[in-house]
Amino acid sequence: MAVRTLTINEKLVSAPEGATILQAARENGIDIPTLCQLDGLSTVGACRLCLVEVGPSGRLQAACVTQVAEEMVVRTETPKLREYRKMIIELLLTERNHVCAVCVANHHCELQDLAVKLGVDHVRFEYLHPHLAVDVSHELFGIDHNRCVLCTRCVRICDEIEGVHTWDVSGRGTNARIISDLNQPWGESPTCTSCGKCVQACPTGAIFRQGSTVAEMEKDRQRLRFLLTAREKREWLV
Amino acid sequence: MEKKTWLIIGIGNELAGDDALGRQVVESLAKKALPGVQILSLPQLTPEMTEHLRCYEQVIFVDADVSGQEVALRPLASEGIRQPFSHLWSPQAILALLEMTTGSVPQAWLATLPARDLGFGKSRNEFGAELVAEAVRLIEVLIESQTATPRHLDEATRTVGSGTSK
Amino acid sequence: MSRRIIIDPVTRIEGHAKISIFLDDSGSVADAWFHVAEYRGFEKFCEGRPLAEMAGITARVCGICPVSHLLASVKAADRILAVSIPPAAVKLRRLLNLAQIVQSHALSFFHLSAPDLLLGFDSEPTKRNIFGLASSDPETARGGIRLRQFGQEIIEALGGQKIHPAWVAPGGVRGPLSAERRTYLQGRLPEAISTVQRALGLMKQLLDRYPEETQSFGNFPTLFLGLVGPEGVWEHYDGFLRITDSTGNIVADGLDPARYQDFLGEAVETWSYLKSPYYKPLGYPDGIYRVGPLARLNICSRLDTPLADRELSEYRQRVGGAATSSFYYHYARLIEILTSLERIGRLLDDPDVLSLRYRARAGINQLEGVGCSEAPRGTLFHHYLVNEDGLIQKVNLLIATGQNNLAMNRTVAQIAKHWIRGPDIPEGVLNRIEAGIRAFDPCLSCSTHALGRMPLVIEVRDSRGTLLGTRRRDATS
Ligand code: SF4
Ligand code: FES
Repeated sequence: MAVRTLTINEKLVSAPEGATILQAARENGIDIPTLCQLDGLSTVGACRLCLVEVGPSGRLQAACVTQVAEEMVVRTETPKLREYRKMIIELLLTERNHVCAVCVANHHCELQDLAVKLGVDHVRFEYLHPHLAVDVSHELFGIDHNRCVLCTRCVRICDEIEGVHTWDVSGRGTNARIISDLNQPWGESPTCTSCGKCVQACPTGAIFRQGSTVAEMEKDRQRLRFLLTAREKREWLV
Repeated sequence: MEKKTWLIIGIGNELAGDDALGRQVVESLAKKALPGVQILSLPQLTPEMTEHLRCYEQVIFVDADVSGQEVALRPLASEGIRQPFSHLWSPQAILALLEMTTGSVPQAWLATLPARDLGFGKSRNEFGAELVAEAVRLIEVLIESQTATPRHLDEATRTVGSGTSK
Repeated sequence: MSRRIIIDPVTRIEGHAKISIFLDDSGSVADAWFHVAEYRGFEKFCEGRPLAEMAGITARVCGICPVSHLLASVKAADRILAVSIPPAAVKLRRLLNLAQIVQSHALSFFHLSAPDLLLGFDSEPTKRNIFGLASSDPETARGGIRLRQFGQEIIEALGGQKIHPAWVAPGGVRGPLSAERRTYLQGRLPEAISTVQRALGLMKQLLDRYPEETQSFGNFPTLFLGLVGPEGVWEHYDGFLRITDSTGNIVADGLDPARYQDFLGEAVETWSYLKSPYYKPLGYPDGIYRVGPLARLNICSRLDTPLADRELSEYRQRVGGAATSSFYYHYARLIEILTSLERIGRLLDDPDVLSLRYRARAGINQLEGVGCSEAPRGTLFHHYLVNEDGLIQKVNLLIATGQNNLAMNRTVAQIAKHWIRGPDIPEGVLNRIEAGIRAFDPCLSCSTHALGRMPLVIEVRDSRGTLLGTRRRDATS
């Protein structure tokens, strides 16, 4: 396989052709924050948290969807990038109603972790406080749209790994919503197999196990990795 | 109950700007895992803290100080403020309470870091890291100097206040 | 021309309480009110939330007694799940509530009220705090600190954190006690018991020292309400409601807390955000009742623990059967600490507290549920209505401080009438008014955050609202 050589943060690194900047960076121990990206799923570049600066002009590219190229120059940590990432998290927080203190995923939430990591101690934008529904019609699980960041991890895992495509997105912009099947209550979904993969994939407390109390919803991302290895390599490593 | 040697308490609100500096100091001390040193990182002191202090021979409080100009480390006596106001307890007040209730206090020091901004949010002090490093250095020097010539404790001090929480 | 004096505790936090005293033309007190101007709209913003989240949300009603709200909330949820929870869960929840009672009562007595009681209401204000107490009686001060710590340690051992432990869940609890923590806690029990016994000894001496306060600190007939267990035994977590009158007669018994709306009414007054509950058959305001330690000791047949029962019979002799003076709240609180500790001992000896069968799982089986438990300050009700999926449609909370609201008002009026002579109010009298409210241990931030004294602002106004003078007392001065 052809190898590409590029510079990330002044460091010369190599990566196989077709790899993304994110993969090349991780391979070399360089951390780039991500949210919508989840190993084993297709990439959609939805959240833009993985923005990096590419080339002399510092063009902004999403690292999770941009392939490496020969002599590419990438910067992952600049004041501008830090500022943008922070702003993205702030905008996510204002768009819906994230109340960490009483959330089922408190202390186990990727959005919260990112906010802490990126130093979001203020939100400089006005909160939209939308009126959003909670759907707990499913026997085992629930979805609270107040906590959804529209990363579509649930949509992709349901489609690509479980293969039933119960979830999808309807609407645009601030009206976008995750819906099950033909926008019907989750409990009435004819396709959902109740496998629970979306519960594990969801980065926030948006999809949760029924009956979860505050901070009780721990997600086990290892389960997904296990599943993928089992699928792809026929190895059941526990 | 055998007394442990050092207790270092960082005090401050992590979301009140420079008020968090004291806690940053103890958190970086915690990473060093110094032998015989116990670390506590707290938003504020409460009367129950006296019951922890009792178990140590030496204690260092680390706090931010708005009136301070530089990082300072000084011995602390239990005298001073004896008036509790609202829910804010000063290290001196805790020591005073401990002395009144048990008759003895550990040897105590107060390390202060100059605070400029106590506004809501994380500390944005560009000298923060330097101040923290300086305080860490001073505390390490203190511990070293004290350990080299161990303070002689008379038996009385050792036994007062023991006998509980076995 | 009548005058109005306002005592306004200024706090930096969310709780605001204010006392208005009305003087008549001769300068005597005509009336007095205790207002609570705190409104946080919890009932509203719970709507639409999943049932299981209610415990965590309502625990935020109060940073002082979150445990009580957790318990009332999960008990309401148990009803909606229609489950009978595992025995281990019942015992662990009981353990949690008893620990909460110990730590809360210890704070109220040792940290907040003991300085007044032991040093005197008219003693030097700068010494009338825990330091004054520590220097005059170090053993009591330290015992009190350690007692509160003991309660906190149990809560920590169970819930993982002191404030807002989300450890109780609909259907049970989230985990058992570890064997190691149990052994540790058992070791601390004897000391805790001797601390409270010593304090009881002091309390009895004090009663003789304060005959006038005993007579004037909310001494009037009311009903008393609380939970009792089988045979009328003192209860804090389960059971049925009993109501007695000021002579100790049982007015109503075996009342199902779930039907509280049948017999309790809630009056709304414009001067306070607290609703004023009353016993419906007697109407408003004659149906005034008190809850909390004083009420619980009045209504119960016995405490069912040996040491505390001995104290209870002596208490009843001293107060003359049923206690009618709110001054006795302190005494009652100490006896409750004692029985709680004895019961904690019993529970710690029970192998069930280590059991791994601690949570029942169930779906939504009822659309309505009421949870009732005894908070340190008194009976607490959580009432939820949910839809078929378990989303909250309506919430009603009936809190202890609210139920004592009418009695606190009368207490303030009684103290004011007894001690105030004209618009010049000596510090010692202000302190008595504050102490009269403090006897109820009301769940207001202002009453607990100022460890020494409440900061007060007194405004003297004439009938047209013209300010005649202001007197300020800061917490630090
Ligand atoms: S429900 Fe969760 S996984 Fe699905 S889009 Fe929203 S945040 Fe992402
Ligand atoms: S992680 Fe790349 S856009 Fe979301």
